[in-house]
Amino acid sequence: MKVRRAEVQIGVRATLAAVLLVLLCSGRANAEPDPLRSYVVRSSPAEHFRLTNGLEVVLQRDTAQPLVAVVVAYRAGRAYDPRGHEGLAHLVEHLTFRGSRHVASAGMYEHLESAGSVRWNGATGADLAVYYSVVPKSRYALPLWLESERMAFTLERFSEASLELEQARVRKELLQRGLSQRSFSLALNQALYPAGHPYRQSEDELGDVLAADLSDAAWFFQSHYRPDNARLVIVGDFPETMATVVRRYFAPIMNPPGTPSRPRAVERTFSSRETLTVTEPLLLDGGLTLVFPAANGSDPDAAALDLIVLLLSGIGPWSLENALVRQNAIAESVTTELRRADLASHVYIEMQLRPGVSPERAESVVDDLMARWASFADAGALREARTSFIVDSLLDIEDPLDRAFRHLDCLRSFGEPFQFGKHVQRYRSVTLERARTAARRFLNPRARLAARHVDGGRSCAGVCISHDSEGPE
Amino acid sequence: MSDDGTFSRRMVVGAFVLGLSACSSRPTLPPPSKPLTRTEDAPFRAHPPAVEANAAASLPASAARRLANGVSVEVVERRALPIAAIVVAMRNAGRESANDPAGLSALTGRTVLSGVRLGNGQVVAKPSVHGRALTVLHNDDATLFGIEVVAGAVPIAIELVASVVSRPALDAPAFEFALNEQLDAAAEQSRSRFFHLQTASLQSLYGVDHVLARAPLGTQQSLRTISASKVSAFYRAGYRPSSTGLFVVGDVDAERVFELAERHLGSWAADGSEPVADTVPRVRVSQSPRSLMAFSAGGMATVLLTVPGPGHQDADRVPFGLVGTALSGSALSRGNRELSHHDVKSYGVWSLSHVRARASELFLGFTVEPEDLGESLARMLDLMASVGERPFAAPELERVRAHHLGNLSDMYAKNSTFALHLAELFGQGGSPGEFARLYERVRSVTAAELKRAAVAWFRRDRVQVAVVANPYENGQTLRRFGNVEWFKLEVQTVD
Repeated sequence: MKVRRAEVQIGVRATLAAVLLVLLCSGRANAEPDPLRSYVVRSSPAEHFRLTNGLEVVLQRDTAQPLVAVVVAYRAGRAYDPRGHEGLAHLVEHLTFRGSRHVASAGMYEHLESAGSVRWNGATGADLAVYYSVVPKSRYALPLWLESERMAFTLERFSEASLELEQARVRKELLQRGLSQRSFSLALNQALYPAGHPYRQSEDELGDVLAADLSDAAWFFQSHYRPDNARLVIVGDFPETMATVVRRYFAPIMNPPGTPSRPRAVERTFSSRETLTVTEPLLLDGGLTLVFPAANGSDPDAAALDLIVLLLSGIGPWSLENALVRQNAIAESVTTELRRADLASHVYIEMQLRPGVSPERAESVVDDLMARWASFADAGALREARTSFIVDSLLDIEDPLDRAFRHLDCLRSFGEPFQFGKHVQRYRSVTLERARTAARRFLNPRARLAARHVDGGRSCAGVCISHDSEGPE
Repeated sequence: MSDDGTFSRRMVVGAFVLGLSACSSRPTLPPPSKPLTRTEDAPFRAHPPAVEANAAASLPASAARRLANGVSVEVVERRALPIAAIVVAMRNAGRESANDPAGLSALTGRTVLSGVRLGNGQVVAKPSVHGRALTVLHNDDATLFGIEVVAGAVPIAIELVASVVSRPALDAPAFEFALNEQLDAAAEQSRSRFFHLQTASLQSLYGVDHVLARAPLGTQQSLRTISASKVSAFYRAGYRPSSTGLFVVGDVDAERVFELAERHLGSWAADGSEPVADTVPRVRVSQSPRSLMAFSAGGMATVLLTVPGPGHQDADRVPFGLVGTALSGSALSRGNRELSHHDVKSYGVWSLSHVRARASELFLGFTVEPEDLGESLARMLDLMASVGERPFAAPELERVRAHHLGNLSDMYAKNSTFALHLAELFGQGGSPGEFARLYERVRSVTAAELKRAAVAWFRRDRVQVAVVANPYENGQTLRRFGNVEWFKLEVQTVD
């Protein structure tokens, strides 16, 4: 009881019925018939609280699911690698699977697979180290036990033998990535992030990983794998007493001394049209990637940019596929993706050029389309994008694991779990003017990076990289 | 530089000192604080939590109806979110005959979707509802058209899928659009290393010209031989009410779906006479010693082992799948143990099960360093050949059973994957309620059935081997396993 009283209740937990009526009709609905006038979302609202040790918890019960998804995210991604210790975050993520006080090495696999989990893993991203598992509802407590073991009792099992094995495993993972793609993505990363930026990758990640010692790994774990630096999200058909089960496993976990650190970065601006050219010998499938800056999740223009990216990646008159694949035989395929991270967000447009098409021609078509966005006035397209985005959002929260990740994204951007009503309002309020503003801010054709991956032929001796800019607008 | 070389030595020493200082510039991290573990232990932490006895998974019920013209309709009501998935499956529309050019079936599906005649007579390409496009999927048994919509749009979506299958324009623009799209898709497919390994293995199993050995999308050459009239003829033969299944999963009322199906599909009548029921040649697996195909490439070696298995309706289908899981596809599989995956001796063994009405295949794949290729291949072949000799103990049986049930539960977690699964089962010859029978079959399978399936299907002479490797580094090693036929990959592959 003492622990419960001391907990901080974050946000408002809805205590009314588990039926949430989300009305989408606004004052304009009569003038603009909306097929999505109302939704009934019958899932329980998310419960959001923080334990006294700082662990932030989100629980969302959905009795229609046969499964329970459990996600634990630590602010311990690649951006937290200390200088000269590239890959340490990834290596530590691996080491945490090598057993704990009560779980044998490889025991996590054994327990989860024996329970019928077919989706479980750990992943190290730019900002987060994330561990997830999806289990049948009869085994809902198993991931809690395993994740509490990882958080509280893993470090004492770090050993030279485990370190050596996981260094070898990380080495294999790094080598498995294609050499060609590795050189291109490294060049693109370094063109995007200046020296000292937490997202900048080094040429010798493997060397750093192999040079890491046990003390380094233990220090990293202690600095970042701690309750006050983590979030726990659970979605699915679990008992109503789940909060009590969470407290039982996680509330007693102690933080090490000190406070977790946060990486900082100066924003990387695009003030001109930049061109990165990566030339390789006998490269059969060259490609072109255009990168524009993007709004982070909490930016007032974020929703507008999301809708623009949706239209760009669709098949209508505002789409890149229309411009590059259907109307002009420039690219075999094109994908548009908005990648958000804590310290930098970008819109990536990646395409496979048709044989004989010059990158300059493709860039020109993309730049022309982006220039049109500055005067965007297609109310019908915007309305369709809003509706489509909201439908997509409903479909995206169907799977319990997807919904858990959606909660994590919202916690990062807004400090609260995903709430469908707020989400809908955010996108309903995007106007043509807001879309034009977002396009001018972020999709300026004179302030972007074009990365060309080109074939140098037989005469090319190795990978050549050049990075030029046309000068400020 | 002095004549006696003093300067040179200084330079070397200087460079050495610089090198040392560069090394020492890697910042030293502080040691971890002690004690390493601050959290107090508790007795409940010593063991995994108990299984919740009252929380066994229960499958949702389905309702089924057959329209007078033969269209089959199956509905699963799931009301948690106001969304639904709608899939229409054309059984037999996936099956090409030996005389058809490869890719005809898939191209027919794309052409159908590229020109849809709506109720008002308008023809649209790639119709969508609220920005979600109707998509087409294709396998050897069926062509599937699917869409996900909000619950309020289910009537529109059912009308749309009914229009797609029963009133396609099949005109020149639709054909040209679909052909170009499929040529691009076939080119993309040929960049997959797995695609080449898989195609070679299937051709070795069933024969080069067998329809089951074809790339469903066809090749650049085969697609260019297909005319619009051939697509129309294939449509008339394969798209018939009697081979149509409509599957709806989500926030719907089953009776309302039956009404909509009747309204939009009930009056559909097929042209001409029924096609010959069985146009697929019988499956005859080669009884000769396994063949070994190798594709030249640099770097690490990728191996694909293929075991032909029973078709969907065969009693061995479920035991065969569970034996496959015992061998691969999970962290604790025999394959991963054999290749010492947990000790990082290998990259692990993965698997893919390819189930069709008439036959199935289990694909096991692994990637190794060139120097480990021979030993790893020998170990895996021995393991597969002897899988029936080692008993399936209770923990192993329960683990692979839980894995399969987990896979099925995972499919049932989403409306779209659930509806697709229902449609695939229909394509394989299943009838309404098939998913529940499959689930129960997995729950009740015994160790004795696994052993019998292992002995019957995992014979050494049935395993096909295909490898992507460097002929200079691996040629001699591979010849130890039999005659090797080398192919040169014409494209840069990824996987």
